[in-house]
Amino acid sequence: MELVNELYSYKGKNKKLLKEAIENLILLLSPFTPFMSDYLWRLIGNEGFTIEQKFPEYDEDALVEKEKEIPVQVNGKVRAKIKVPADVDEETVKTIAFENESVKKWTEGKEIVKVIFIKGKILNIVVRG
Amino acid sequence: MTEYNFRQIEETILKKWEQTDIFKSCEDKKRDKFYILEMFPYPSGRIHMGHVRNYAIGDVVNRYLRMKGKNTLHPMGWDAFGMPAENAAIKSGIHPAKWTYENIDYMKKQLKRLGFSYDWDREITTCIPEYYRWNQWIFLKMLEKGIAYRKSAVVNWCPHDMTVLANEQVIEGRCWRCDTPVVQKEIPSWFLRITDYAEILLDDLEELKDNWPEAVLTMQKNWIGKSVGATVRFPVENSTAVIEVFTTRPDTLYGVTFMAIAPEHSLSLELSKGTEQETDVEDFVQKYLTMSTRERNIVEEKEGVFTGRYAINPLTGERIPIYIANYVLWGYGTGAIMAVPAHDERDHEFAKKYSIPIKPVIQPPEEWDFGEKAYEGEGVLINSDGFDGLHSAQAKEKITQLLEEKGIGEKTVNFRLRDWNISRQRYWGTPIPVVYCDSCGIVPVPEEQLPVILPENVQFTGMGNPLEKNEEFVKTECPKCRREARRETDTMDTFVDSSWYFLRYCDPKNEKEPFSTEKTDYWMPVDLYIGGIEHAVLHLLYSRFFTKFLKEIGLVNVKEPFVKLLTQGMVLKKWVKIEKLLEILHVSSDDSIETLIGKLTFYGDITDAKVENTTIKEFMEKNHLTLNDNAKLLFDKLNIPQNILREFEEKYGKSDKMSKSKHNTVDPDEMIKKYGADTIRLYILFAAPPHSSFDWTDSGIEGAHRFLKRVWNFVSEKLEEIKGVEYSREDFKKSA
Ligand SMILES: [Zn+2]
Ligand SMILES: [Zn+2]
Repeated sequence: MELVNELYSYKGKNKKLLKEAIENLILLLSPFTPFMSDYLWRLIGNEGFTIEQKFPEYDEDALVEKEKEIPVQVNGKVRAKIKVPADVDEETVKTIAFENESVKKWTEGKEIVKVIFIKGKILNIVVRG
Repeated sequence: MTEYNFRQIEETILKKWEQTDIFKSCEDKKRDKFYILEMFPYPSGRIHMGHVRNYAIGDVVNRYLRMKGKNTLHPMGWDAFGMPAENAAIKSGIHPAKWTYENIDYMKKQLKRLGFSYDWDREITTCIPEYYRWNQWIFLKMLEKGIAYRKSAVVNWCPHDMTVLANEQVIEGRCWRCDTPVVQKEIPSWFLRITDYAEILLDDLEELKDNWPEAVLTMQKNWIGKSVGATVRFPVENSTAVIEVFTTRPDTLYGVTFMAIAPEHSLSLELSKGTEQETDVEDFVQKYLTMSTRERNIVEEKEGVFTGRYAINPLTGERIPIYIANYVLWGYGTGAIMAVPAHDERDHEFAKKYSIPIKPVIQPPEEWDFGEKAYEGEGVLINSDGFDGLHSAQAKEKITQLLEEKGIGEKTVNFRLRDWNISRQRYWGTPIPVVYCDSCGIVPVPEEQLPVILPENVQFTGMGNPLEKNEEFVKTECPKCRREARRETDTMDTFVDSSWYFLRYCDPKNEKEPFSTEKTDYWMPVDLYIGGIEHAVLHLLYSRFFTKFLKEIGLVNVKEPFVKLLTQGMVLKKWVKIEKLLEILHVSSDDSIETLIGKLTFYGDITDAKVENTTIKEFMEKNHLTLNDNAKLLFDKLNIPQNILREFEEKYGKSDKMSKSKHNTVDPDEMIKKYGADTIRLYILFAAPPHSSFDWTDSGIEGAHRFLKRVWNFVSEKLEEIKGVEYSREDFKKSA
């Protein structure tokens, strides 16, 4: 479902990219909604049926943003949301988070007691002082 | 931009699918196979939402794996023999074949309309001779190997209709048609020796461990019910009779204070003859023999009667009173027990009721009031002669040894599993292919004479098996001596049909054998089997049994038929009883209809409501409604729109499996009309993980529908932009 939201917000002018993204969307949905998928597949100028096509590989998908938004909490309160690569590691998240203006505001000059990163979900910062 | 016209879309694509063979499958040794199967339905008339969920899960897996390059097999068929068809014939005169085929036609259309990607060329219908002849063939193989045999079995019998009744036809101990009390009767029947496979069926559960739901494995294990213990023989005082019992607790032999036998036990009437207990025993036995099995299972209160006779404990020489008791089940073990009230709760309950002594022989680890409760655990032996001080585990061995030395018992492995009675005294099933000849006895129908065709020309009176009255069928020639003989009129339990259908799908049109081993070698085992948990025991156990038998005779090369089993959750729907609705609205059934409608105006537009000048109670009586009925029915009668009820249902409703009696069903046909098949599929697949149950909600299906509209609108919006655009993967490597 997220893919559709992403596509809606796509404002680029690269028609090739757009077409590929739409084809991938149709194919991803095909096992669930085969009628609509087959219909659209033909409508955009293809032949045959989606079941005969290759299921898209996620990592080949060029258009879908591989970014994720995750909340950053300071002492239990969400102070910022940062965009990070979907498969980001802890160090990178920390770097991005501490560069964030809002996070800076709540942490600067304080002692960082603990930083907990739950992969893909949330970054928790505990400060003292 | 065009609207999302799902009807036009789905009907167009359905036609295109029908014109191609994209869902077909054939063997291809160069590709990885994947056999995905959903339990085939009984053609009851209409597909219900439970089916839709079951098949949608299978379908999404099949389509996905196809797109991933697997060579999949995804077939469908009909478990077409069975009681409802015959009952319909008795009730409304329509022939079971006609009823069944009409239902199949309708349901097949429904399945296609839902977009399921079946290879219909492999369709199986179990009631056609091309299929059931192989039931007969397998039966003959089993007969040849001594796996099929004949012995007498207890059945439910209606003395008025002179007919055998299935458990489902016994309603509160009475015949479903004529209300006569049902009795138990023994008649000769055909059995399959599944107990020969008890050990292997149990052991091989180990192989299924990570791929079958834990609950199913446990149920199968319990059903097979292996227990290790001892057989002990108790002589009856002043008689040559001996009562044999099986116990898992030989360590409690010194605590036996009475024996109990089932009412059906051959000794039950005999023992009391000549004692003053004779009439009491007769009454008691009579009472229980006339009860249906189901009814007996419901009686919770332990009840019994003293036979007036005693047995001798073969170890201690003590005299022990013999009772007949309702909690001893016939057909379970030996139908007799040695009762140790100090260490068995059921025996304890019985002993207290009939003031029988309670003698502790195992020391509980804490203080224990044996007058209050039995101690069922293990421990150190007391009051047990030379065995005092031993722990239960040791004592079991030592005492069993002593029994063996004295010749009064031996170590025994007991199974709860019974042989499978496949005889049904009804019409709509596979005829059992044997002939009875006065000179030759039981004669199997020779293989080349198969199939024994089920005749169409029979009368459905509800009395007796219709086949018995068809002389053309019954009268035949003995295959051995050519003299006149009679055909078996029992048909097979329909579970036989479903015990190997997954093999037939691999080679559905084979006319020379049930299936070719080459084909099953390619497709079997089924990689993913999907169905309801209600089949956890019988169908799955029988299928495993058949597979093991067919492997033994060299027809298949797999030990187990189903690699992975998925038992999908139920589709539930919240509903509100009239009683609950009134309670929420603070209205009593003595209030007027006007009051009720007045209250409901706060919840929506009900200007079309029918106001009658009566109390709610009177209105309900007039319309044959009770407080336990679905409030929906009351709304219908009052002409109030259903959407008002929605809020009550979502907030206060009770989640229940969809059922006609609760009026909380959602009809797939209606949903197809309203939203289309894609929406139903999407909703049902995303509502919950496959194994969990979920509540069907209007808001849920509407959400799925909105999503598809969004997809449709988006693609049609961009249609002009991307028309004719060509691209290759290479295009993105540079830009990315
Ligand atoms: Zn009757
Ligand atoms: Zn003969």
